[in-house]
Amino acid sequence: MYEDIRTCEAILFTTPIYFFDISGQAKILLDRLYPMIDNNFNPRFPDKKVASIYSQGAHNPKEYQNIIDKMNKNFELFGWNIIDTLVSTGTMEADFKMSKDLMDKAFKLGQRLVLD
Amino acid sequence: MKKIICFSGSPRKGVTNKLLEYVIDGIEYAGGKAIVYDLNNPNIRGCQGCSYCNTHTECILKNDYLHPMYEDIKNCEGIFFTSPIYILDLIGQSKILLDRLYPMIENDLTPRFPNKKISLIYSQASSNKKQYQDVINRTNKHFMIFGWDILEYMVVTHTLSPEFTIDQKLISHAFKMGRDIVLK
Repeated sequence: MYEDIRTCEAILFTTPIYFFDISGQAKILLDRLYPMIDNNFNPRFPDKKVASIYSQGAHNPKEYQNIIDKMNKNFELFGWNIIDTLVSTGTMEADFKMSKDLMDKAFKLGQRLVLD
Repeated sequence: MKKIICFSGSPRKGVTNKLLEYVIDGIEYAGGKAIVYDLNNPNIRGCQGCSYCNTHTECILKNDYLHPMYEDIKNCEGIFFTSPIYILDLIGQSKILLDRLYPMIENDLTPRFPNKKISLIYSQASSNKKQYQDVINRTNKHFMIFGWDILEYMVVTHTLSPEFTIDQKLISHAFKMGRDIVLK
């Protein structure tokens, strides 16, 4: 991953919210991204584009805004430019269906990571 | 003998693990038995989001290092949780533990194994004790949802400073927390 990040244009980060926070797996990734900064907090591999997708059981898209803000702050610390954040809500409902709107947004997000 | 489940969230032999040793001394001094889980064990996997625990009181990952924990928690008096803060939040290894504790509640959030005591130690490089209060409140709330009573939590600060030492005051405090979780 480190070599891939060094030579990439953009990063797409996706995680579910488990127990009021990103999943443990996603937090392990974040911890493993310490090499993105030097000891003085200077970014080592800045100027990447980054976008994120979160999915959550809660219906309110702002429910975990504090967590999303914190993640974005981490990416800014790495010198990465946030281009967008998507939140999929109510995902644990029995009748949950991926909306056309959400699929379009995800598709466009993919395009923007390459073209913006 | 009262069993206390101790979770060691630090991958280092640093401050958190050193203090946990004094906690264990306190547990044993009070006649309790400490059962330690090292959250950095490579045979721990994260929650699979499979919903198996909606209908079972344990996790589907039966060959996982953490698997005996479910039976241990059922039979224990108390839990001792220790975690460093990494990049503005609990270390990932500790968050994986929290996710793996979904079996502690029913689908409607009713606690399955309530009335346990829990004490916690957080360690952080920041010198401001309140710096990660949001993280601490969220984690404490998490354990309260399980119906566990928080006896005490300690925040150890400035741990990466060259002047930092585990002084007698910290040692006594950790020892006392271990003793209290057995006796209170």
